[in-house]
Amino acid sequence: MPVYGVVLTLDDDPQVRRRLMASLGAEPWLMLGVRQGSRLPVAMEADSVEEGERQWAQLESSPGVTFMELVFVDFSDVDEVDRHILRRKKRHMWEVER
Amino acid sequence: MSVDRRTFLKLSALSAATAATSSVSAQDEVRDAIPAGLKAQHGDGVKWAKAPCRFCGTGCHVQVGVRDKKVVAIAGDQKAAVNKGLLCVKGYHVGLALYGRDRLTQPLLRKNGRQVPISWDEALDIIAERVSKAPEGFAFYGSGQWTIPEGYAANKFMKAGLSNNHIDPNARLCMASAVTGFIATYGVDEPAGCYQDLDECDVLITWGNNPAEMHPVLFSRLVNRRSRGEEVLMIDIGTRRTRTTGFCQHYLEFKPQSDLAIANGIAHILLRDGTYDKDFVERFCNFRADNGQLKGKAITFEDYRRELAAYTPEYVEELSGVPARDIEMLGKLFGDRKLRITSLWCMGMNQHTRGTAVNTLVHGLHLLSGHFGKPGDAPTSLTGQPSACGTVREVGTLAHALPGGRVVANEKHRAQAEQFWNVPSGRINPKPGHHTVKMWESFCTPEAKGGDIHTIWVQVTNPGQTLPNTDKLFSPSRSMKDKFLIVSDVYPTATTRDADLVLPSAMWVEKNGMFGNSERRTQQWFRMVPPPGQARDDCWQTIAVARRLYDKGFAGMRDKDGRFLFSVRGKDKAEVPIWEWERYYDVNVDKHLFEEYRLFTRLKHKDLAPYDEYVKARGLRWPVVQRPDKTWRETRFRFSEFDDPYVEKGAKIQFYHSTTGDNRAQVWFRPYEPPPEVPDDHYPLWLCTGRVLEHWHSGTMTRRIPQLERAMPGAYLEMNPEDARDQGIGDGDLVKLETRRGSLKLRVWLDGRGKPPRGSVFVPFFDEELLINKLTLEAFDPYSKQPDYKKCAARVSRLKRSEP
Repeated sequence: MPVYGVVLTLDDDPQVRRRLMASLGAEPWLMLGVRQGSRLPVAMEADSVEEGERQWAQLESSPGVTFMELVFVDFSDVDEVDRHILRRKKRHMWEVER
Repeated sequence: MSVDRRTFLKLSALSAATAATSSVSAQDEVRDAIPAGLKAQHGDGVKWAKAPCRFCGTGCHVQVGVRDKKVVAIAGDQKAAVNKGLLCVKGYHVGLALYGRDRLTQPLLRKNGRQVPISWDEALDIIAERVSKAPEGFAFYGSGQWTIPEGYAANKFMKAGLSNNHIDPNARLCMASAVTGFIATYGVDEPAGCYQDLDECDVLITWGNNPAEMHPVLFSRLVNRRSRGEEVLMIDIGTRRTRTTGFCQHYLEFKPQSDLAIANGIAHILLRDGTYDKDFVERFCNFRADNGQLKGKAITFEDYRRELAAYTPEYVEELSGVPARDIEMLGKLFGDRKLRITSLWCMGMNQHTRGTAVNTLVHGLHLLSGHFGKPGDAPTSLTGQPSACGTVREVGTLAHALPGGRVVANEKHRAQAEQFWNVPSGRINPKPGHHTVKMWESFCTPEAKGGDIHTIWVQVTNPGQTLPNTDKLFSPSRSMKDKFLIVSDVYPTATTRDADLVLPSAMWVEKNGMFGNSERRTQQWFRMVPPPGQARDDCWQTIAVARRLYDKGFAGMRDKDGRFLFSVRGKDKAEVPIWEWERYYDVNVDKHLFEEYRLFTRLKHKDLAPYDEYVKARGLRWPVVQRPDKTWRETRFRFSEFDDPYVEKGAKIQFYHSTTGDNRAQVWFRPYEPPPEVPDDHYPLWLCTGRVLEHWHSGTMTRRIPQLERAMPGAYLEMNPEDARDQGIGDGDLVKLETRRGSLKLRVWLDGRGKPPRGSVFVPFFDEELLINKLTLEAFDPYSKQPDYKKCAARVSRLKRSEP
């Protein structure tokens, strides 16, 4: 059950920023900190690694987020790290021709 | 997990993020509160300790949280000047990268075509036998991921133990041209400036460089400055639009290889307009041109002017495709001494058959224009690996080098090394060993046909995936009976898959270590968790083999007093048998090796502090000198009187390792020359290869992380949409990419993250299932011997859906 702390750098446009803040504020999995200039501290929580991945991608691609940096992650309860690896091993779709 | 604890963790995460946000504004009181806060919040047995990140050359420090002998949390280190609490997305995985389920946990020997478990004793005996068979044919291939003590031990094993210089690192493939560029210009390797340049420059020029993805924490310094309202002019000079381009006011797209013409065009304008820094040039510079030797031949300023005369902005536009007005803009910027200009580069300039040349030209622009030696005014190369500088360039794990900037070909240097190592005079072989391409070429050539390398021991790298033209430089050896490949690694890779002997290694905080990052910063950490199964430190592996040889009577593993080459004595002066794994951590072997290595560092003024100083610090930038009050002081800006203790009073700038012995740097003229392979009617496209944000190098660690793996599950081919349309290729279509060396089937990504111009394609190299390096060219720079992965001729054809 990963918990992340991230710093978002926000777009300078006030309108874009307002819309972004409104949408972030509506996400129950986010805890927003106090913005300093264009940088916003955020905590994210997820019930699973998969959900965390989705949330990460959503946050990173949100209109108005120009840069995203990680500062903290707790994965003390994560035990599903490499389920995906086992799946990947079967994914030999393409091979090199000689 | 209880609700309370989750809330607790969320608050921890938020407070760390808040502090990191504040730290950039230098609120020290907030920063200092964080480690204590983390400790309080993780009151359930989590212990925190510092370590540099395992991945790139930036050298971010992380705080590692350990509970029950397992890494359970990672936080950016608020006290680290490099990253000020921030990490990139890969920083998260530096913890999880330890726990892929397919970690290698026991030695494996290929028998009857299968890799079967064997004991460590048997493995060590096999290696010792391979060495004994013909020591001169044994080679060691490492990387900039070796820790400093690991690389030092390997170097000593080869050069003092085997009298054999066939040791080279994968860093030959990523930054060797930066090394030769620095040496040809200043007489000594590594950047003069530091990351502070990024905080103080008015203009940032990225030369074929994409720091927004490859060094994102460094790049965030610029993003943050802008977010505070500072004006920073950013110019991307590249062959393909990247994430970095999106942040830049100017994007100057050039034809591959023509960066030399651009640099010459800028120099032309500085001379034409008389805006070069006459005082700086007269006091601190000489002029140089090629003569086939790294140090070149002297030319006069007038010769230099004459050579540059042809590089008018219009001619440069013709060669490079960059409009003349943009060349004029660059010329004007360099001619303005009120500005502070920082140039950044990495693989784009280094993986280049003219890599040394273009490196020297960019240094030359900064020297000619006087944009040197002040914070924000610097030519700075970045490294891709965490200790490419510390272990490769400083320890000298290159085929021609000895520790501390020495070279094997220099009799005095050999004598000094022999003295430090206490080995008989003449022990070190004066002939440089094989550089990477030559080493693997020889390994892939039968002995009867002159292939003089019979065994290669690979540590901490993956040449089966990263060598160029692998069907020529890697694969052939695998079907030759007299060629034996030993690989130490942490996960199965494209190289372990084909190895004869596989050794399971400890990684990152499973062992003690030291790295040296891109800004001359030496960093240290302690072992925090045990490695899995029978995995063991690479350094121990080297020392254990050395001891096997010693026990067999191999003379090279004795010093001139008959003692074991890696002898370590405990507090009671008795020898500690560090070759026995159970005893390896009875003493701090890293400390012993590092203190011995320190002796080497004075010659080139790369002085290092005692080991214990690094234990206390988040790294120190060399030269580190002792003050009268016995404290140790690092150096931010080399060659500048205001900061470098080795610059004489009143000198202002002093290049005290000048190749001309007169304290001057060299401004080079190097002509543009076309690349060795160019598109033609049969192969009409340029192929460029490189990295992606999500995966680090060959992906052996980051592809074991579901988040990164899902975000970037496989290699792809970036193509220009118009080129694609001309061939009826759509986004996601399967195509065949061909070069003269092979072909590969890939999915096309149009309008993706990177945007190649018409006539070019890009493929990342992280995917071991889609080995792009079967297609790349092994042509290399004549001085650095670094291959060019950034350009060769290719063609793309659409495959029908029914084609397999």
